[in-house]
Amino acid sequence: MEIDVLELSDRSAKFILSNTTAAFANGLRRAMLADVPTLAIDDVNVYNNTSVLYDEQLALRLGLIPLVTSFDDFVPQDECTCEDGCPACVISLTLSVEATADEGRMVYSGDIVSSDPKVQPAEMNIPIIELKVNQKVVLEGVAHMGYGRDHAKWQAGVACGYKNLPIITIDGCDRCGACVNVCPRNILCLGDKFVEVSDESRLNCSLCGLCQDACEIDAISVTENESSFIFTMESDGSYTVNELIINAVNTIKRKASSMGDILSTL
Amino acid sequence: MELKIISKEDDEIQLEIKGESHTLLNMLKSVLLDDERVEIATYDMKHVTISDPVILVKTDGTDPIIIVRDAASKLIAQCDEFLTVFNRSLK
Repeated sequence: MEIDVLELSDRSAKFILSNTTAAFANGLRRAMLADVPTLAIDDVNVYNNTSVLYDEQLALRLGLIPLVTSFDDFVPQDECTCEDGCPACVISLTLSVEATADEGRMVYSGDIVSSDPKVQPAEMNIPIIELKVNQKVVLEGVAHMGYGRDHAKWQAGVACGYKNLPIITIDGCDRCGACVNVCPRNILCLGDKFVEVSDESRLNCSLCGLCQDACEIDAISVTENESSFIFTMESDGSYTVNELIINAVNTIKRKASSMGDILSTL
Repeated sequence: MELKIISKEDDEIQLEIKGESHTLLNMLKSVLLDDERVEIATYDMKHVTISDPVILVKTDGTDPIIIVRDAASKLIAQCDEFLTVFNRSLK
């Protein structure tokens, strides 16, 4: 297995994973989307809501705000040893905003006050509700750890996907240029003798095959490398991309080892 | 995780894996199919959301429980390899 990191920031990454199986790549993708638990507001106690949104709608919007999560400090509530909420599975956040008598204001995710300084909204400028004059929202949100497979608010990975690494072979080219004109991503260019494709632009190929169709002498062929994958992924901010990948792989590992343990006892 | 043996013979096993999905089962299947001792490895989920997956493994005569256990440790090894390679590639 080899990994070649092309881009890496806190929120997004692009890397080539090679010498592995499609099953591993897909398992990694699925684990990042659905099996890494994150914190999200799950229960809301509304004390006062004179805004135009129903309480339920407000609760949904609060739930979808990504919260920065520290993986080691929390556990999903149904996996916790306590019965009805302890600091390891429950965290309380409050939102108390009132518009003045003169002008309304927008309530942003940054107005949420967390009881734990480490757990904060990942973005401070997500609009929640616009208050008109004298309107008021006072509520307490209770955040739990949960899994993306149960609700999108617990999904840490967004836009996680992969494609096979394209292999473009050019052999016997007569430099007619038909493929260059037809390529929708402009990855082919006319060289001195043949059509050429650079290593960098090769990664952009969408494997559409239009160049193959355009070539009258079958000099170009586009196939996919079955054991190499270009991964693109983004995090919603609950974790950094780096943590997300590691947590996803550890989740798979944990599943496999608990299965192995049970089988050894049989 | 809970495992339930649905049927077991000397060279065949049907295991229900409670609470798991394609994530683990597809990886397990792929590792099992790489094992020379395995003749058939496949899994099925009767219903997308409410069923637990059932994996069927038919072997050349080796105890299928040992084979699935080996597959689980190969999967762990793959994950470890990924983590090592990933950490190295960040440096």
